[in-house]
Amino acid sequence: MEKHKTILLVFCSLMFLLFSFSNVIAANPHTTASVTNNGLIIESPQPDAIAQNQNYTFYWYVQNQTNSAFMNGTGISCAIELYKFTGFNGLHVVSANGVFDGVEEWSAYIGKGNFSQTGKYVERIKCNSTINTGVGGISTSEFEVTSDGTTNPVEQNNTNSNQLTFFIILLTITIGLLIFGIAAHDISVTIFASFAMTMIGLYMLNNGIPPYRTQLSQWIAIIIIFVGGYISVKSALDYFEVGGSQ
Amino acid sequence: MLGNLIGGFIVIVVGTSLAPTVAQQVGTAQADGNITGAADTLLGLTTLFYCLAISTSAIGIAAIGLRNANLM
Repeated sequence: MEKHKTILLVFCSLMFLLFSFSNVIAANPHTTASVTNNGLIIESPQPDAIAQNQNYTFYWYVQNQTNSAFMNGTGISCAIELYKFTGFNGLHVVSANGVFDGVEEWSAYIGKGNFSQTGKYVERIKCNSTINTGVGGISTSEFEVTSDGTTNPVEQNNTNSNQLTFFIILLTITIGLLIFGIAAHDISVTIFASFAMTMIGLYMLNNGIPPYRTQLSQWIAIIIIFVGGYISVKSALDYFEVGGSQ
Repeated sequence: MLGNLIGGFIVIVVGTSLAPTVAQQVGTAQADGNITGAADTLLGLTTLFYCLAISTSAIGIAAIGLRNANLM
């Protein structure tokens, strides 16, 4: 009984500490843009942030640098490239050709699968003249993919904080179940908790510790996955030893 | 005894149902391109360990039944 009290005390202390740290989050999205002109000016209304797992169409205009006239689709080809930064490196996500609307607007549709992860993204729009070699322009800008598409620091912090709190609740429940299963010698509960650990590890691997996704979080996730795997196999082996109840 | 068997069966049923989800998540993580080398190899073993735990549970429960029937 005294042992169970100690376990409960340690568990409650752990929960208190985790919840205390859960609100210390700050991630301010920002947008920057750089433009390189060599005969063509690319003007692109930039999003500060877009929502995760949502389709998005980028729009831009191409002007003649000499007289500021909008260029039509004749003799111009445009393409957009998307890069994602995951905290430790950049990845080329997708390329798409720009489509001219027949008046003055160019667009490129990017599917939601390319915005599956939150974080910093960079779009690079490049237009070239197909008639005059060397004439073109490039526009590069950053934006954030956030869970709700907002960049309001307060709202974003709240969202991140909510995500982290939810994550910590999941982790706490899992650890609680694991401690309970081990303390009560209940093999089935221990195996369930270890399965939950594996899944939390996989979640952490794909999404990081919200909102941070770094190489460190990935290694922590891999350790959690294999601790879960070890506990599940070891607990399953206990069925042979004790017939389901120790 | 019956409770233990039922608990074991629930572990197997739930575990088996979630195995494709685990495999899918492992595939997603591997396809991401950020995980390379040893980490990638270790990650590939996740589904194996998960299924190993389920199959060990099944064998363990079968062994309990046989043992109680004095067949083992």
